[in-house]
Amino acid sequence: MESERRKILEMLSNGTISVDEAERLLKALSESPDSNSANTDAPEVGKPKYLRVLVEPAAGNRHGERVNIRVPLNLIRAGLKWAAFIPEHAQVKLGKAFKEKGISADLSKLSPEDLEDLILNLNDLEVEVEGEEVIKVFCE
Amino acid sequence: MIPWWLKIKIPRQDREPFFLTLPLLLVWLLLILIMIILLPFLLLFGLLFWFKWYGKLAIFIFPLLFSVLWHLKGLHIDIEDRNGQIYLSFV
Repeated sequence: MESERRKILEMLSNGTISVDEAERLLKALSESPDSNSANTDAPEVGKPKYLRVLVEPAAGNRHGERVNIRVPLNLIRAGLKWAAFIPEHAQVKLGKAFKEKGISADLSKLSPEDLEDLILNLNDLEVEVEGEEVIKVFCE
Repeated sequence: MIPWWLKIKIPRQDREPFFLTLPLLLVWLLLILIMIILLPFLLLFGLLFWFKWYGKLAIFIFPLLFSVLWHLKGLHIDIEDRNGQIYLSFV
């Protein structure tokens, strides 16, 4: 629980979440039924298992694309382990491609802790884009 | 858990799509057989080229592959547009 509290405070100091959101998360953490439990190895209730991507045509658009993808988060964890075996020359190319898109990322330096952090934060992810299509990305 | 069935959808013109459930047990058995045959060669290759990236990959490829296959269960892909449809579901 202490690590989760620290993580929330870190997210607040980084500006990832607002003061209100941090307050809400801390309150939810203190109110959670297993917050007093000493057994931290117990499986978390409501822990997301899948990453979902849904694309549906907006109202009035009959011919839009429909996408319904469900990816197990454990599969993402397993897949990212392959990143450690990307050859150096390919990593340079990847780094350049990422930079062109304005992303500074180095997959070879991705540690298991970073990965768990990423997945933990995916828990709160919910993206909805409305235009010709309604796009939803969330964890469940 | 490892998936045992693969469901695919075959679209048919002017008719309801046809669902096909394929047993993956046969694929896994074939894969294990191929892996057993390849294992000594991969180990030898891995030891010879240990200091290159492909040497390490040769040693770790089976555990990595198994971890991906093990977690395939629950993967569901359903994409549909004007030109066609892709439907895959590992159960």
